Amino acid sequence: MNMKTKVPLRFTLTRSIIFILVPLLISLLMYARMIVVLRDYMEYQVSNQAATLGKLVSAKFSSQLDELERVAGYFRDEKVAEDRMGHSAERLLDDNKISCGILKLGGIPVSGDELPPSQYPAVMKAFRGKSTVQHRDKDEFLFVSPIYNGDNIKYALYKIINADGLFQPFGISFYQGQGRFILTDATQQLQIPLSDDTDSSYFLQDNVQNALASLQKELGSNTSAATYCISGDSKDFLFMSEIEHGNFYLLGRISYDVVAESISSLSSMTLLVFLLLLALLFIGTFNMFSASARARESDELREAKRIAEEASKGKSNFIANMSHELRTPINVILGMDEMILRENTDEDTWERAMDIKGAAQILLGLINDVLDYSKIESGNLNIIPVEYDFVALIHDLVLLSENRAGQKSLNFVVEVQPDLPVGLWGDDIHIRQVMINLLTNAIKYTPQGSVTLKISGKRTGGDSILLHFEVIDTGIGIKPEDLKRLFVPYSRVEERQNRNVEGTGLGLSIIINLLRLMDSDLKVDSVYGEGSNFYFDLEQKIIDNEPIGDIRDRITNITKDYKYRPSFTAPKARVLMVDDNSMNRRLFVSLLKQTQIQITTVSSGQKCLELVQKEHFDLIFMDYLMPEMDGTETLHRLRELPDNLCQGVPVIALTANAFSGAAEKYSEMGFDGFLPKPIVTEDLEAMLVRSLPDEYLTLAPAKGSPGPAAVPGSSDSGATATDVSATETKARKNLPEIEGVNWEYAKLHIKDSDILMEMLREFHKNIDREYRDISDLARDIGTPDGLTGYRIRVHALKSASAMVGILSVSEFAKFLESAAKNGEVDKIKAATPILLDELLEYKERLQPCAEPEIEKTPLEDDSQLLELLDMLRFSMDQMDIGGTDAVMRQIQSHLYPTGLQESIDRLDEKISALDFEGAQIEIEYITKSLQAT
Amino acid sequence: MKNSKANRIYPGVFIFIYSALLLTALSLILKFGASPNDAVEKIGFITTGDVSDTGWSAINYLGVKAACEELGVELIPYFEIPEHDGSCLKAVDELASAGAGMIILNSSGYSEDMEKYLPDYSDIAFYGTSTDHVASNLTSYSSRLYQARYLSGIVAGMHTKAGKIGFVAADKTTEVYRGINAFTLGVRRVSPDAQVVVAWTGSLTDKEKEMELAEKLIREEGVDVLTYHQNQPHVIDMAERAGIASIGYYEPATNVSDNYLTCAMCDWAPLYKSLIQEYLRGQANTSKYDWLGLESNVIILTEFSPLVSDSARTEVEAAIQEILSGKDVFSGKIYDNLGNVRCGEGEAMSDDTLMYDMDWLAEGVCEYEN
Repeated sequence: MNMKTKVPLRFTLTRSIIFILVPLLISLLMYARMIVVLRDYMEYQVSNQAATLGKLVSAKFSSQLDELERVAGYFRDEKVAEDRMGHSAERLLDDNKISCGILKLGGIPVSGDELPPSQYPAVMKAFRGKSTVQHRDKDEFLFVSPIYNGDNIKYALYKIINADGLFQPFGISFYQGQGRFILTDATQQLQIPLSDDTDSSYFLQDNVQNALASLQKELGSNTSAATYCISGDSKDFLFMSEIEHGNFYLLGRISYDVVAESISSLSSMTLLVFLLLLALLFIGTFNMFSASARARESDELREAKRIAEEASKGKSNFIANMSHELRTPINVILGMDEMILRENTDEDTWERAMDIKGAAQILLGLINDVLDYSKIESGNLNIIPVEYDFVALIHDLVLLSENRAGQKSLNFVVEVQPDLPVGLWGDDIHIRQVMINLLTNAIKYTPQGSVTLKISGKRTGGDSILLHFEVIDTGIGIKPEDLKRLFVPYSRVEERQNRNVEGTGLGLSIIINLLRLMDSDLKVDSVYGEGSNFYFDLEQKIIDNEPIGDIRDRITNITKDYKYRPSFTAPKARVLMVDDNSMNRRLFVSLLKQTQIQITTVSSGQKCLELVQKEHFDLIFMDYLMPEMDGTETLHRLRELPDNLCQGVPVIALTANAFSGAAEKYSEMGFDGFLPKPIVTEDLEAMLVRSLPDEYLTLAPAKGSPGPAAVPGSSDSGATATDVSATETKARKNLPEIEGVNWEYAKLHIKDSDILMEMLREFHKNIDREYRDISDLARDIGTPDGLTGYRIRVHALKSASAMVGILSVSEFAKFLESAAKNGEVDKIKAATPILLDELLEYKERLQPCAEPEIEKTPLEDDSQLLELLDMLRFSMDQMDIGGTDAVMRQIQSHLYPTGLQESIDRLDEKISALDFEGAQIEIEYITKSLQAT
Repeated sequence: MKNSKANRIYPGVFIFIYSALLLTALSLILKFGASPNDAVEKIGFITTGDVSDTGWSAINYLGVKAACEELGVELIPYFEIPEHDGSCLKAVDELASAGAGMIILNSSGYSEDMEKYLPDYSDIAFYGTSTDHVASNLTSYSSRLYQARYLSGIVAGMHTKAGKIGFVAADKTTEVYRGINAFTLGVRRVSPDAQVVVAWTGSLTDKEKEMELAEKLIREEGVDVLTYHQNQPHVIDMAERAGIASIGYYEPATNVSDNYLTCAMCDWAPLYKSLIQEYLRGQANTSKYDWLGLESNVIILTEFSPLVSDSARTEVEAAIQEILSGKDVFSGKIYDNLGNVRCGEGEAMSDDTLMYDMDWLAEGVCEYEN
């Protein structure tokens, strides 16, 4: 900003130079030039006038010569006798002469005076055939003309005349009689005034003589010339003009003022136009400069705006990032609390844990507020409708508000229309947000009295309901003029008065924007000093028509009911899960362990298609993004497959892309639903309840007393569950500190530590294969297919590493996935080795959590291995993954010959990847080779 | 960023335009009122010889060059342009393209070559040495070189013992007749019986013929003084070789013996200066043209050889005074070699006659029959 003060100073200086000095310089130059030019012009004019004057004087000489030649011609033609010539000449020539005569060769007179040619060039010239005039003495002029005899010249006729006779009457004036001029010769010995008042002495002054010298020089190449001359007080133009006959010149002077007067209009006109032009130039210059200044100013404004926008964007980003960062620990708190709630049996502890959960959720809500606002600001907020429990929503609102209202000794009233349905379809998170905001505000601004939450509804069709939400308080109210300001972000009504009321000032803006996104509008009725009423209408789809009944009863039940346990069991249900990522498969199996559902997993679309021809499943979960054959293609082939035992079975898409409108999009593609990844147990269970045939489902009782849930299930899997739960307790207590593994992050997705450890082990086991596959795929990225293969593989690695909290690998994989998406081959080539190195790092780091190396004992005989393989096959048939793993560990605890060990390792790999089909083939192969020996 | 960048360029463009306008204004102001007449006049000069050579072309070139330098005009010379083969027209055309306003045709043949094309160059003032071809834009120029011829004739007449003087002449033009006649009048002034034998070469530049005829004049006619009217002084070489007296023309010879009596010369620079001034004043081709002669000091004889007698020198001086006093060469009783009176007693021949109308040989001239 220092620039701002310096720049104008520099520009002002430059500007004043350009504005004032340059035009001034130009005007001075122009002025000087104009004087010179005008004087040149006047000199030229005077010179032309002088030439004309010279011609007039010449004409005087010419007429005398003409007369003389006429007489000479007469003498030639008439061959007048020599003795009569003098008399005839006297008679024939004009009276103005002083004398006249006839000369013979050599200037010898026939009559009149002797005029020797050496003294009188005019005589010499006459005897060469030319009529000329010359000055004789004082003011006398000698005119001589030849008289021919045949081709040769015999005599010369002359006439002497004085200036008066020659020029009277002259009648020539120069510049209206203002000019003074004389007749002179080259030496200026001759000076005959031709105008009145001519002061011949003027021409004798030194500087006049200098001017005359230059004039004479000019006459070398011109017949007339003029020059400007200052002598004493007088400023004049001197002029000279050649006279045609004899070596005579006209010399004169004319006052500068007289000449200038005749062109004064021109001079003043020129000056005027010049001044006008200068003014125009000045105005133009000024305009251009101010325009450029304006441009510069608006430039600065733009720059400031840009900086402000960037700062604002930066702020939004910062807030978004911050909120995200804050959410992570809160999620951890919630996660840990969830564990306590699940595991704990002590009621006091359980109640406190519930408090923690409530408070953490409120905190999360506040952070989400800020995050949402920054999302709204950047246009990133989407409404994602899901199925939700309306009672739970109301419960949360009541729980929160009652607590707060109680602290302020406010009466909190809940009025919920009893016939509202319990299951709805909509964006419950955002509805919750809107309502919490409204309620929080109401409580904030109500010093005494009550806050009422009122929810009613009106069915609008078969499966829709128009809900009416209302928050009524008896608070301070809002002045009518302040109502408008309610909607301005960060502004708070009556700032001073409410300064001890905390809040972001964002609440209403978020609410309004969120409601608009849900096609609704916030309305306010308020009386200042009496209270306010905020309300809006919202249409929701009905999923479960069961009426809420008395909301108070419901709320009490929910509070007591909260305890994790599977919401159902369905031992007869068969579910197929298709995913190329072994960790996802394992997670899926682990999450549903307690539901006792029979789960089969396959690693590709192709295998899925093979399997559905052999077996029937009640429900299929399909990963959307898979190599070779993706989810959509698999689905379409599945639908078209003729001998399909799963015809008409619902297929649910598993996807990491939970964008808004995702439900519509997947439904368009033919899926019967979708589940966002990472998979959340509750959502998964809800999906299963909705999709599985009712007869398979044994729903867990909706209400029940707190306490350890009875884990239903078969006896053998129950045993496993007990084992697992024991391990779980142990593992949670000492989740090992591993460099580069962010347990907190991992726990956001997988809350179960045992499952998490299992996932991590799986990840560790897969490192070699990932390394091999990705480096192979990276070689083929030149082709579009190769690029796609690579992209899917790094995408899988991204999810897998994120799932176990290995963020460095995940970030790299994410980076490479987007590079692959954009076809940036160079980037991939450069960064893939880094990813692989990083991945390899974890081979070492994860070693501590890998399965402990059991000292391997040699097998007593092959029959023992065959027995174990049989057990393995049985467990796989039972889809008993825990059992399978246990048997596999037992098999691996022995030593085998090299060839056999390789086969067993392959089997182990397949078991780990839940590739039971591949495992069966491997078992077959090993059995045969053993039997062969 | 894009915007700000564009706006940073903006003042730069503006300053550039502003400066351009200022410069234009300045140049307009300075140019304003400057007279187009200030452009230097260009004078063309076409001659047959080489400037590095001796002779007519070189001596004329030096004269016109000096005049142009004095007057501050530009001279564009064309050397070694042959006569009668169209080269002259080509040179004139080039000069016209170059903007020459005045062209000097420094060889008499050019005037003939150019005669019918002159109307095409009506805005150019031509000056030619030939007096036999004239046009509205072609003026003949010369000096009163006949006065020098006359004086050198006196020297020759005083020197000859044989009473026979050889004259190698180019072609029968007024200029050459005038020269021969003036020379003869000079010879006969001091040696009334002496004869001038003229041998015609038919060309101004025919070295072989000049040498041949000069030799024949010596061998066959027994002349003891030789002079010539040619572009190059080959005749002098022959005279020197033969050991007889000679009189130069146009230019002083170098490396010659005392037999080289004198040289009839013209100082070309003042002559060309007067021509060019006439043109510059806009008076070209207005027949105001004035022959310059002894009174203007352009006609001279170079320093006499020791062989020139005192009486000859006195006689020359007397002749000069006569001319300056008004009795020029072609005045008084003059007969041609056929006995006709060309100028009566007490008469003077006009300049017009001398310049344009002389096709006779004076009494005392005989032509060498080859």
